[in-house]
Amino acid sequence: MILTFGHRFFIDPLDVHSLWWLLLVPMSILIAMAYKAIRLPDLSRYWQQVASMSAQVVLAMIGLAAASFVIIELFVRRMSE
Amino acid sequence: MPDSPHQPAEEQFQPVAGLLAFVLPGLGHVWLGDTKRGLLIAAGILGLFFGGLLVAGLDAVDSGLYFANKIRGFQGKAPHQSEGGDQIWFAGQMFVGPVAFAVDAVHQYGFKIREPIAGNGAAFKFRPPLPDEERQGSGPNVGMSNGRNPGNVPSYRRALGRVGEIGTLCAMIAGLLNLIAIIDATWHAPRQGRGRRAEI
Repeated sequence: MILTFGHRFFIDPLDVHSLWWLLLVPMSILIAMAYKAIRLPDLSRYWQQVASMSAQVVLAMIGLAAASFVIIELFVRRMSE
Repeated sequence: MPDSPHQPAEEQFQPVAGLLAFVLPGLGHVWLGDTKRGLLIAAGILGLFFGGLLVAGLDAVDSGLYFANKIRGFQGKAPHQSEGGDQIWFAGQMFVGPVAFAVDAVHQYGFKIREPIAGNGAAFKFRPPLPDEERQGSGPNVGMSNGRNPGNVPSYRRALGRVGEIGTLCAMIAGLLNLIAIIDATWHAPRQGRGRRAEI
């Protein structure tokens, strides 16, 4: 990850190619913030609901990644051998 | 107001709130008196949109002037054409409202290289700069290429790979979430005991 002094924020892309997967966490939190603000009838437990939805999204993505890994690396590879 | 807390409130048609929700995310709910909800919607949606811009830079929002030329009725020989656009992504991003259109206009006219189209009079094509291509910042040929040299700094760099995908995706999800917010504000079911206009 290289952020040089001359980096122009909001104009040039960030050089975070090796850590791109970490960006999924703030993305999940912001999606949950907007979605729960629209859908919840009562905002008294808003932040708990946001934390819960963010965790569900992140865990679901980890689960999908693990499932994809199993299918591609084990199942498909075994079929091709 | 519902007779009991378990009875769902009746939806009310609020076109002004829907319009305001399009003008600025969350503004429709603020106008309906649900200020806290409106501010949270704005924080989530604008956070996603500008988060996408922060990650992928200006390249995250690029209509390629497709919609502008469609609205103006140009077919093929539009006076302003653009290369490198992500029209399908922008179809979602545009629901963030004027903010998305403003960012796209700044991208097209303020950062892309302007090139005359041969054989089409005063028509121009806008394209992303090459990595070593500089854009003229002032003068009669503003926006045109200053040529390619190894030391040149382009007006902006294109987002590639996963970083580009995530930035563009964030900005598009922001637009789709604001579409839900626009619908929620337009056909508004008042939340019990909330909002200045909730009981209208």
